[in-house]
Amino acid sequence: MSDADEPQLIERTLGGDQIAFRALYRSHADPLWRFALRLTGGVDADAEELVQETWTRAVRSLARFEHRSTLRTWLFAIASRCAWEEARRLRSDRLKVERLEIELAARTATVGGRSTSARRTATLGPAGRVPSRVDLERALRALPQGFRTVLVLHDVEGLPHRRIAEDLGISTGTSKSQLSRARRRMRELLGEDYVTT
Amino acid sequence: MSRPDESGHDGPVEGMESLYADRRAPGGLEDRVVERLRADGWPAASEGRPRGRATWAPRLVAAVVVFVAGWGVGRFASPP
Repeated sequence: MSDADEPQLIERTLGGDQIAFRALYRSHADPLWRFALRLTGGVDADAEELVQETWTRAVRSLARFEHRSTLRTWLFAIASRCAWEEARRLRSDRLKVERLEIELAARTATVGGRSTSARRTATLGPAGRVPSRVDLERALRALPQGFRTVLVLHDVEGLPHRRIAEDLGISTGTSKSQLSRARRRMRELLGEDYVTT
Repeated sequence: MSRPDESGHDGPVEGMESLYADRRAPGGLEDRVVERLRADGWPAASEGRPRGRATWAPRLVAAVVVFVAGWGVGRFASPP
């Protein structure tokens, strides 16, 4: 499929043409899959869910696609937004669980109980070298979803903070602080002496 | 070892850009995406025609033609 065919395929997809949609899907399938893997930390099931949700939202609002960017850029923006929303949902769920745990701890009032908020932060791999691909994948997977989204958009996709903020519906300040914390967390997970570029 | 980024912090961790670079979309995902779209109500769920297409222009021309024709018929068919 050439780029010139894309507007026509979009039009036909809007009319319910499954063959046209499949052509669109195939032309973006691999790049979108790799992007989804990065955003989900390489968990196939999560990446698949993200790709499905991205296409569902994309087709639902395809009529609003104005060809100001490429369709791929637009799809990536939708995927980023989905990942960011998932991060917020997970954080909200975690806060609820923590609140419940605090309430439960207060009710039971056990003496010498273990801390429920204690988190292990084991580092990955030896320090003093470029991280291996396996180490990177594990560290990326261990990052909170919100950190991971901004890190991937900035450090892998090369998007500027202004654009990340626009895509995720956040401020540029939030994007910068998330990136900074994400990189710090990555280094903690990899070991302080890992090489950075 | 590291360079500060635009926010003044250390730069990206090396090797990030090539992560999953050799991975391909799993077979069968395409069918599952189409199934999900159908379950979501596609094509009815898609919101009309793409913007940017000049659908308003032919509609305007048609409206003017109908108006002028109507006016003309009314003007010349009615008795003086």
